[in-house]
Amino acid sequence: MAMIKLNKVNKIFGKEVKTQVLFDIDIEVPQEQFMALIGPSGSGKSTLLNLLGALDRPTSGDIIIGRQNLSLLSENKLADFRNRFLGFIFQFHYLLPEFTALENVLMPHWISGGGNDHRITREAKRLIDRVGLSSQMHKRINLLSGGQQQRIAIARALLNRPKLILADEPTGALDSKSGDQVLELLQEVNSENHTTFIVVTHDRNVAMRAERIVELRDGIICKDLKPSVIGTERTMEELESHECTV
Amino acid sequence: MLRFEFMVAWRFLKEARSQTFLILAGITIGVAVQIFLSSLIGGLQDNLVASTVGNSPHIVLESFEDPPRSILGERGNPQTVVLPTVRAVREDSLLLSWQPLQESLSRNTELTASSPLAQGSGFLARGSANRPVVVKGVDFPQADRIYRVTSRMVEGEARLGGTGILVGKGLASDLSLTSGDSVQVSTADGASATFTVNGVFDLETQVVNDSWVFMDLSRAQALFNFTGALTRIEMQIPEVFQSERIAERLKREFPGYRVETWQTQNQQLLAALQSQSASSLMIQFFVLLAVTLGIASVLAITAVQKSKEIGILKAMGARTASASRIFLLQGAILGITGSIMGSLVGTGLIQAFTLLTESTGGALTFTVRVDPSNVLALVIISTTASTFAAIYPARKAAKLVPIEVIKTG
Repeated sequence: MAMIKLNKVNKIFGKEVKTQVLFDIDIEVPQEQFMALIGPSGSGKSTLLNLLGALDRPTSGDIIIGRQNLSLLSENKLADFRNRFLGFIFQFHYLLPEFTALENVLMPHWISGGGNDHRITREAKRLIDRVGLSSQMHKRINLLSGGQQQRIAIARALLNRPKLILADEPTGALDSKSGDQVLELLQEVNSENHTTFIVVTHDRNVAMRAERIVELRDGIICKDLKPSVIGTERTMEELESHECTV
Repeated sequence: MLRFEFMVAWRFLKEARSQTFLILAGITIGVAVQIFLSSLIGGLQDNLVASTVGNSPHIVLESFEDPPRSILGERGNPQTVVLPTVRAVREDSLLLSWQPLQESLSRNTELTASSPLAQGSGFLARGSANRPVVVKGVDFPQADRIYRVTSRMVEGEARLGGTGILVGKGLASDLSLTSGDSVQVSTADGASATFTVNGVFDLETQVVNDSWVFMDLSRAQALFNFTGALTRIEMQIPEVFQSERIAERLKREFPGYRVETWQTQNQQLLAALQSQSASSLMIQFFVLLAVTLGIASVLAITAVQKSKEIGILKAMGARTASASRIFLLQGAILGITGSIMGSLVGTGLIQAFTLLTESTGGALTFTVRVDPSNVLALVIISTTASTFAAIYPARKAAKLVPIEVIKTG
């Protein structure tokens, strides 16, 4: 079953000077897939991620995520949808510096109107433990390293058990060692929780570890590759070429 | 429901320590000034009213002054016309059969005193020196409740009866009177009698101290040839600004008489008090406005500073209204904390001010008191105003598009 289905999605920015960023995007992402979205800057990949994240609406076309057509939802319903259905991991971890690590992880639960019940606090602690930061739990966010902050952001994204996690350059601000750890963690979560992942990256090494690589170029899908099917070498070659294969 | 918003608002304020401190200081000073000012002006006004009303009755009941009748009355005899008619006119302005009135007034529970008064002007002479005086013939226990003579004696004994009289401090020093001295009181009609000074009072108003003489009611009636009549009945009530209401009731109860309140006699004072109150309110309004604008501008800056956080909260599913409420709550928290602190500081200022003026020897001639209901009103108004001040930043937060802050991150 498709977790995500995009049907002729267009996005045009600007009112007087119109810039079309996405052109008739059609794509399906099955449940549990770990997909990398790559492309040069300006290719429209961040725009696509924002549309998938219910943070923005397409100019035309339909986005269906888990049977829910996003264009039919009001602003408030979209907010609730983001809270319950999606997890976000951004390049700049975007944690709230006023709160501790544990409080940041609990934030999605609080946003949905929840209080401090033991069950959810235990779950948050379990997730922090899962990302290997039990000892840092009660520390203020800005006392943690970049890699640690990103792992807390992952724990936060997991709290409401989302069906879909969207990650925008999750390793972009990290050194390669912490980047690897974060990526491993994402893949483990993917196989443990059957969560669908879409990871935007321009790091080819990150992309190569994904189940599927989709390349955007000038607002259209240019390549759609499955390294596990066609092999690493072939994938590398495909990525090197400037020809579009879709 | 507001749990999450409150938590975030609280944490934002707690973490932005210096900003929060500055806003709180602003509200505190504003509210403190308002309380200080309103209490000071309130105290001053109370004092003005008290000193005005202190030496005069709150309500008086008099006879209507009928227009003089035709000189050629029904008696028709030109030789006897003049005298009796003139007398009749004067008698009309006096209260004739006042005993039932007085009885009914003394049973009225709204009044703290009702004092029959026979008043006239005359001269008080000691030896060859004499001074114009206002003679107040009173039933002393009742009159004392209005004029509080007993507690304000400087010499002698607060006692009337027989030929005993009480004189004011100014008059006493002018004529070197002490208790036991004999004086001659004469009226414009030429009547005169000898009296003994029983004591000297100080009613804290110069005109009064220079000219008033208290004597027994029946003596005064005899002296002025009132034949048992009164000039008026004077009344005292517990709450001075209730006078109009009580007077209305008395008018209905005694339709044949004129009932007047102290306000009628003091229009000018009331107008002054009103304009003073108005200017005090004006100052308070502008202080509040300045504080509110200050809060609004600081919170607007906060909204910009926190746009990243607000964006991320929205991305995680915080609704637009929720983001606005975070700022409205910040305004409300600042308002209530600042105004409570301001109330304490304002009350402290009043205490310090009173102590300071006392220690420098210039003790206040009036008491400044902090009115709790006024403080409560100020706390409510300031809290509301600071919540309103947060509307602008709240709108900014509401309009914030999460992807924009995330992109520019």
